[in-house]
Amino acid sequence: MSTAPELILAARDFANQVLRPRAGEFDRNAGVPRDVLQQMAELGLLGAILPRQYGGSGIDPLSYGQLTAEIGKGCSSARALLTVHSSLVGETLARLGSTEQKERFLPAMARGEKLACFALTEPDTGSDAANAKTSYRKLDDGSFVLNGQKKWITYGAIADLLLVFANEEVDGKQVGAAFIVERGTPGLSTTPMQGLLASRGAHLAHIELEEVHVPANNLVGRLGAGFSFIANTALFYGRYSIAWAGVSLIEATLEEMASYARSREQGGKKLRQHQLIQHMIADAVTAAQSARAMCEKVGMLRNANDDEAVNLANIAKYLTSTQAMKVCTDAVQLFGGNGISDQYPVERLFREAKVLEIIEGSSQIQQQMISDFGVRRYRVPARK
Amino acid sequence: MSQAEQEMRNKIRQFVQANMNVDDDIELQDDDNIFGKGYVTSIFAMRLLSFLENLGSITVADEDIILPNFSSVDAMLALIHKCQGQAA
Repeated sequence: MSTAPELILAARDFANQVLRPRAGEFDRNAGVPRDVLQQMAELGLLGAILPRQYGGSGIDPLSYGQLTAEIGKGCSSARALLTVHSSLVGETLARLGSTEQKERFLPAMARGEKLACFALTEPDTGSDAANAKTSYRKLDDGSFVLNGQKKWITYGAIADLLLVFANEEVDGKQVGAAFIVERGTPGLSTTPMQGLLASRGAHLAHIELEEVHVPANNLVGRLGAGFSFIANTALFYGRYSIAWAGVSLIEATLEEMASYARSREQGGKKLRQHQLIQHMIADAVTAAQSARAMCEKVGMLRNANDDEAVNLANIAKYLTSTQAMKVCTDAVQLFGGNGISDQYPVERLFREAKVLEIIEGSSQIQQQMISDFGVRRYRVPARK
Repeated sequence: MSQAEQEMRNKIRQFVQANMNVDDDIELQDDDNIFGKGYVTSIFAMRLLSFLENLGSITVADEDIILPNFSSVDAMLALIHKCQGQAA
């Protein structure tokens, strides 16, 4: 068990010494190697946010966000494990799982002996997740049988525990539920996904569930709580994590831009001395500072258990992911021909930025929620 | 109804009203099904859970985290009483 400052420092050192030098290799080889993930576990990073009583370090959400950003600066695919394993599944189990489930799963997750993934999205349902087609039926002995498909499941190719969402139609209404499905269960198969623009190192998988039997004590929450409570809680944690992922991409890219602009000469002077380059760097610095400040604000609200964190996490996720895309686009432009070469990190960072605008609620879904929040918050009461 | 209960009821009502995506002329009744009437979406449910736990200084048990317990001001007040009774 370590303190938050110790874990953040460990994350920074690990990112600088192990992840950043090899991030391109993980991207090309389509996977962060298991031994690297195990090193993260041994440093206490996978259990950092998990409660101490279940083998984690129980650090506060703000510190955990800062830790996430450190790992993300080193490698997006390694950071993605924190998002799915620790945030989407770990934090959700700690919040809404039964005591028995916490005792059974969280210590092994904290040690990295069991990796977890979040299986919500399907081939035909992304943003409309509540209408997932994966189905469950309850047997007389209280256990369940699951059938269906999941797609784009980050770390799904190697995860030991899958938090799977499914529906049962009752009187014309969908009754959602969430289940822990353990690898090795007959009828469960995972197929790594190839040909991806980004997240190439994050072990994305297509998942098939064919008459998969799940014991009653692997139901997370109650029948009917699957989407309203379990998925929405998980997505809140996930959006917070992705917001910090945006910070990490902005900062990593800015470091590449600043270093390149100081060393490369064009027209007899350094790039940094060209006014239009200064424009791009100024925008990137502004994005870095504002993105981190916004995420810190959400982190402080989470530390205070303030409900406002939910609305602001949506804003933070939208802000940092869109800013990351802009900064990375500018970085490719600043690098010129080198910007589209895999010999330079900005090419990979540019691809990774695009993913952040899609996952854990696309930018359009965030805009919808932020708009709903805005017309409530900023309306002026009618004068009588 | 005690003053403390009335205050709690008012706080629940204010929290729900502040988060309703409806026009101003809708007046929330304590027995209105806020999900059924479309005042809020089910995304709001997880926020209600945290709100009620803070408001009532309670922990809602696993078996009580179901939508019907959060569907109206009356239901939420009853849930707080139930949890406080269990803790007592």
